[in-house]
Amino acid sequence: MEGKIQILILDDEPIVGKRLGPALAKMGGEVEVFENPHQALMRIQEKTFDIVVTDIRMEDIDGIEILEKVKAKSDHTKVIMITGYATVEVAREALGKGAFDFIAKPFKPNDLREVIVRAAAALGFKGLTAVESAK
Amino acid sequence: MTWTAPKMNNNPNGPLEKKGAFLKGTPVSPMPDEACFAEAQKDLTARPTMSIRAKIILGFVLLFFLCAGASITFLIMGSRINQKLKVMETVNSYTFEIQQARRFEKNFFLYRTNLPDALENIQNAREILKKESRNITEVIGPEKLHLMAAHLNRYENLLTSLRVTPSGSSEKPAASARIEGELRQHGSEMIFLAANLVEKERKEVESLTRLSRQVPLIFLAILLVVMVYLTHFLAQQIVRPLNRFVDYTLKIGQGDFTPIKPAKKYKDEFSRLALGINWMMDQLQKNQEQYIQSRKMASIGTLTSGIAHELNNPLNNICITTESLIDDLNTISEAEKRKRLQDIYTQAERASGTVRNLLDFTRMGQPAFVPVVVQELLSSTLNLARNEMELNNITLDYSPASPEAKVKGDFSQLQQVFLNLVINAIQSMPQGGNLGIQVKTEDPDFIQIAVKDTGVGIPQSVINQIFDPFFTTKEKGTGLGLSTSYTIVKKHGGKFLIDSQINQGSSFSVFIPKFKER
Repeated sequence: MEGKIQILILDDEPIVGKRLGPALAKMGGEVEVFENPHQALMRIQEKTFDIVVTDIRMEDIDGIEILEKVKAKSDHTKVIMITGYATVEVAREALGKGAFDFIAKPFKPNDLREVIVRAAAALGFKGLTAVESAK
Repeated sequence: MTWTAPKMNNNPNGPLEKKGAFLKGTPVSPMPDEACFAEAQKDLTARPTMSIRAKIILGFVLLFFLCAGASITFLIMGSRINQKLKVMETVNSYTFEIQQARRFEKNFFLYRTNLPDALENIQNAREILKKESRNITEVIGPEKLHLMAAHLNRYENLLTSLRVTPSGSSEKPAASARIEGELRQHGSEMIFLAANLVEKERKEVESLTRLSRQVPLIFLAILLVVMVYLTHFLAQQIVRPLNRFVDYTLKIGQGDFTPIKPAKKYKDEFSRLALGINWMMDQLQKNQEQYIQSRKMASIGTLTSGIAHELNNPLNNICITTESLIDDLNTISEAEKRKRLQDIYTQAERASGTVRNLLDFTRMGQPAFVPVVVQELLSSTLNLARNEMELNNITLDYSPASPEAKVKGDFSQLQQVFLNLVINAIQSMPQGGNLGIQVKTEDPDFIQIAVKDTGVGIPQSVINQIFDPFFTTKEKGTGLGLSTSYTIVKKHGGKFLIDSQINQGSSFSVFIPKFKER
């Protein structure tokens, strides 16, 4: 596959978008950041993303709904769920509905990078590199 | 429908008062304390003992004596009859001897023979009398016996006097005739006496036997009466206390832990049961506090999603920001570095604030009364509940009070109360709704804080119970929220006011004494 990988990040914590956006862009992807799930959904309807990273617990719409809508629109999109409060039921539900992977807060940014790289590889992207962060 | 919980006297005895009784206007039994328990135990043991076993033994001893009495009566009757029969036999033998003597007497007067035989019979008769003299005396008395003996002696003398007269001689026929007459007289007297005696005895034996037939019937009748009474009495001794104890256990089941007090003058086996139950209640109450504390820890489950979220997010933010700072250390401006560091600091503060809130919630201690700013109290509470509100689509209607509004109380405990009310309100609106918080300061002594919801409301049938410990209408509720809140409000010298309509919503108003500057 050619072209940059399209990534959408959705989390109601502003810092997540502010910091992860540039970090993932540095890896070689094109990143769009959202704090509001409604706005994110509208964007998803407009554009097909390769990877969607979304928080599970948000006001109004929760991550599961985002997952469903994304999968409904384009099944090949890899959806990665972030959560501050992971339970087995939620994980099961998410994976059952087609989530690619699950990552619990607090996570080391490298963990997220690895997941993204794996997702990209699964999609056939070869250009992504997981830059080792300074420890 | 409005219900007011009246202002409490400062009874520091915790959540186990019967609030329902207050509502109906009957006096509330004060929660029993250690002294009350000790006194009840003392009263129970101080009584003299009369055990049920002793009563049973007594009952059976009574029955035994009744039977013994009847048996002895029978035995006595039997021996008397026996005695009389013996006497009759004796007298019959005696009579036989006398009759034989008289026959021989007649022979002598006819043929001048058998005089020694007659005398021999008289001897026999005398022997008989002597041998049975005791029995006979018992029956007819000593005088009659002497009389019989006298007759006998006289008869013998007369016979002996005949012997002196040589046989065949016909001199002194007049004397002979006289003797003969006297002999006949005595002889018939003796027979007559004996016959009377036998007749008398026979009659008595008859009446004794008749009586002895009645004894069993009378005995059975008395026995029946005594047994019925005893069974009834003994059954009562066991059944009545058992019923009493059933009542006690029912009362305990409803949460009334008043110690059992003595109900009778004497103590018995059931008193040990009462002592045991009192001790058990005392232990239960002692453990109650610990139990409530541990259940409260469990009730944190409601907040767990919020707490975990509230801690993990700041931590995550710190991680991300720190890494980005390190990555971009050489490329970003000083201002940007400062900004990111500030972000890290803010997130750390956020996390520590959450931990502090959680600790405050779980802490169980005596309230420290200080001035509490109502606005701070409510906003920190709402902060903790924010997550729950978002999850359940609850809109908030809150206009903060002026910073001057202060109450006198313990911040963390009051926070616990309002958090409880807010969470309850949220949970009453599973389909979403509006949460309203209103502060009123018009009253000179109290500040009124109302927590209103547009939820399912509280049914009339349970409104009296909502403050009872462990009462809950939630599937996974602990039932401790409102009862603990009630205790806290009471300790603060405050009160509740509740208004609720089914399917329209509820309003819980808390009145807390104002903090008055001196």
